[in-house]
Amino acid sequence: MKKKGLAAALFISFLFAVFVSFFVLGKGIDNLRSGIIGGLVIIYLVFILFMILYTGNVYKWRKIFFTSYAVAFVIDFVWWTMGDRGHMWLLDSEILYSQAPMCHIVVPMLILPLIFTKEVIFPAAFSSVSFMILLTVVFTIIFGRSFCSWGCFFGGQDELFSSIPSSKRWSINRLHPFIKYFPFAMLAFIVLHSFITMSPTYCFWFCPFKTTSEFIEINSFTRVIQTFIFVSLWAILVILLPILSKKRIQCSFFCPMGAFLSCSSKINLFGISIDKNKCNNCKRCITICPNFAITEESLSKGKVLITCTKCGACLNVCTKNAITLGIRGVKHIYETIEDTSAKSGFWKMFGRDLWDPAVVFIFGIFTIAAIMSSENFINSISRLLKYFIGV
Amino acid sequence: MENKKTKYSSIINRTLMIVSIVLVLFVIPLVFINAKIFEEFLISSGIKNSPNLKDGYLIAEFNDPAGDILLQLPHVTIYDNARNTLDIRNFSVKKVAFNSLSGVGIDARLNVCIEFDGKQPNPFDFKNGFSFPVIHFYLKTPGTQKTQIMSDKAANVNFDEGGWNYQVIIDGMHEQARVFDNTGKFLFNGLGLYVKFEYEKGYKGKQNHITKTIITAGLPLELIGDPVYGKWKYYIVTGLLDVKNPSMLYQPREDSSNVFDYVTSDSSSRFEIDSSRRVSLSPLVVNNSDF
Repeated sequence: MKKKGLAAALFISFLFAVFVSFFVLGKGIDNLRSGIIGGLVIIYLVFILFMILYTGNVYKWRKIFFTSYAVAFVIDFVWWTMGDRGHMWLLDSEILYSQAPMCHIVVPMLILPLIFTKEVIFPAAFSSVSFMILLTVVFTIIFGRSFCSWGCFFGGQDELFSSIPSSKRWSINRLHPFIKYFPFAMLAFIVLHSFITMSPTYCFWFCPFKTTSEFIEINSFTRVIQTFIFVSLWAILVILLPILSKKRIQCSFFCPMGAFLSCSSKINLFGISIDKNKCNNCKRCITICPNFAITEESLSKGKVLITCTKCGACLNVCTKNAITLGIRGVKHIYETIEDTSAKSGFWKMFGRDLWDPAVVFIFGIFTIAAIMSSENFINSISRLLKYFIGV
Repeated sequence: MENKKTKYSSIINRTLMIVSIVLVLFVIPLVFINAKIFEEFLISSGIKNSPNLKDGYLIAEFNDPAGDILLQLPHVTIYDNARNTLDIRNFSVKKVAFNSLSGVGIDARLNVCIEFDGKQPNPFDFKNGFSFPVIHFYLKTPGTQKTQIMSDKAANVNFDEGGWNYQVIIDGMHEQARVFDNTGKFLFNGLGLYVKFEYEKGYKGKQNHITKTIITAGLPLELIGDPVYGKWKYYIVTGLLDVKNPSMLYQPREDSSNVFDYVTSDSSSRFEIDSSRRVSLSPLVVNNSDF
């Protein structure tokens, strides 16, 4: 994405601040302390959006937000379980009474039971389940798989560890077809098995992120095996392999929600397009893409694969500006307008900066991500301040 | 021709751009704000949570008045603020089905729920979150021989008739309810013992003080039988004594009284306690023969 002018960046950031304040502060500020923390969080989020627009570096500033969101989520959630409740166990009673915290990864597992039996098989409160389904539907239709790089509070862990090393130790740019289709096979298995057993299979057996959130009370040998499996998967898929490869291995290959959202990538409004005429085939985009969404074959066709999460890595690495984020099926809408108004005055420049699908995309998705993350940011900062400074 | 194509393409571009702006600026916020409508739509479509313990089939429910505790608590520090712990306010029996914790199939159980006012104190820091009371729950299922007589020293009661075949004891120490037969022989443990606190909702939904304590004990339906069929009788008392597993909780009085509160049906009259003899109680009768 091309960098925006100061006026446009400030205007959009202001609009965003109004939007987010409405939702964040509207939830209720109990006292001056939480008001100040809420205000600081809004300033942080506005600053991130401003920097994305003003510098045009979507990948860098999105990554800062996304990884900090993941850290804030872990601090907030684990502190709640360990500090307030005394343990990280999801108790049998909470499962039996449908009081488990809801998570978006569950959504694909709910589909078949919902259609055929009209039952929600995840043991969470009905309101949480319905909201998560709604969120997924809205996200999917409008933004496709972008949730994986903007709104997923678990995906940030994968990205955090993949960002730690300065260089790759293990280069895996080309995938064997079996590996390429593994996430979809995994999705099919999880969805079918969940339907047959009428229980969320991935949550009971495979979810690596239970290690940093909440896991089922270990009160039987089966639970010991389950715990061993998900802790091992977390160590391998979320820490070890991302560090070695600088790729988001868990998100790319093992997450059923990721594969599920990939299937919808053809129908959503926004997408990445590659201009073959501008591309000099340097293949930097293939190397940097953390989700294996650009291959040599797809590059030669001027397309990205459906696994693209619109993280912005390819946008910023392309020196020829051949890769653009725009409205799917519409070529170079931004450039068409730019060509006709490039040498215009302030207001036309301002209008050109706003009349960009990438800006609409970033504004929309970042607003949702900001609303979702704000509570975790506020709670984690609040807890840290209380613990270390006593304020 | 080329001009027409460019013009046509430009119209599509602008239309899609306007659509995307409308979606982002108006539709998404409206979706968030009106999420409740979607929830109501799902409910109206017949979608519900998988069977869980909340949605049990209510077999019987009896309310009990506040402040009808029969005995005075001993004047010992640990019993301070413990009066509510012995005063039953509501007793209900539910048949519940739920998705098995093993992840395969549906399990069923009989849930016995006893409700008290306020928070149960836990001076002994028992695992279940309450130190008092010891709850005695008696059950008479259809088809039991009437020659069997049951009286209980712990509760110091006689029953109006014989044939009571299960005694269930619930306390704060044991992880499960314990089920005994009419001779006092231990039969099996229950399935889960849960203590739930209900809070008064304060400003902006904040939880204020605890208004209710609900103790729920699960019993295996396959062993107890299915309470939706036939005439079942229930009888429930609270006390401080568990003679099946004597503890230091309560030193029995000379008159051996241990019934601090009991649940009675509306039709039966209240009795006056008489320390010279055992108490005779009328059971709670639930006739489900119509099922």
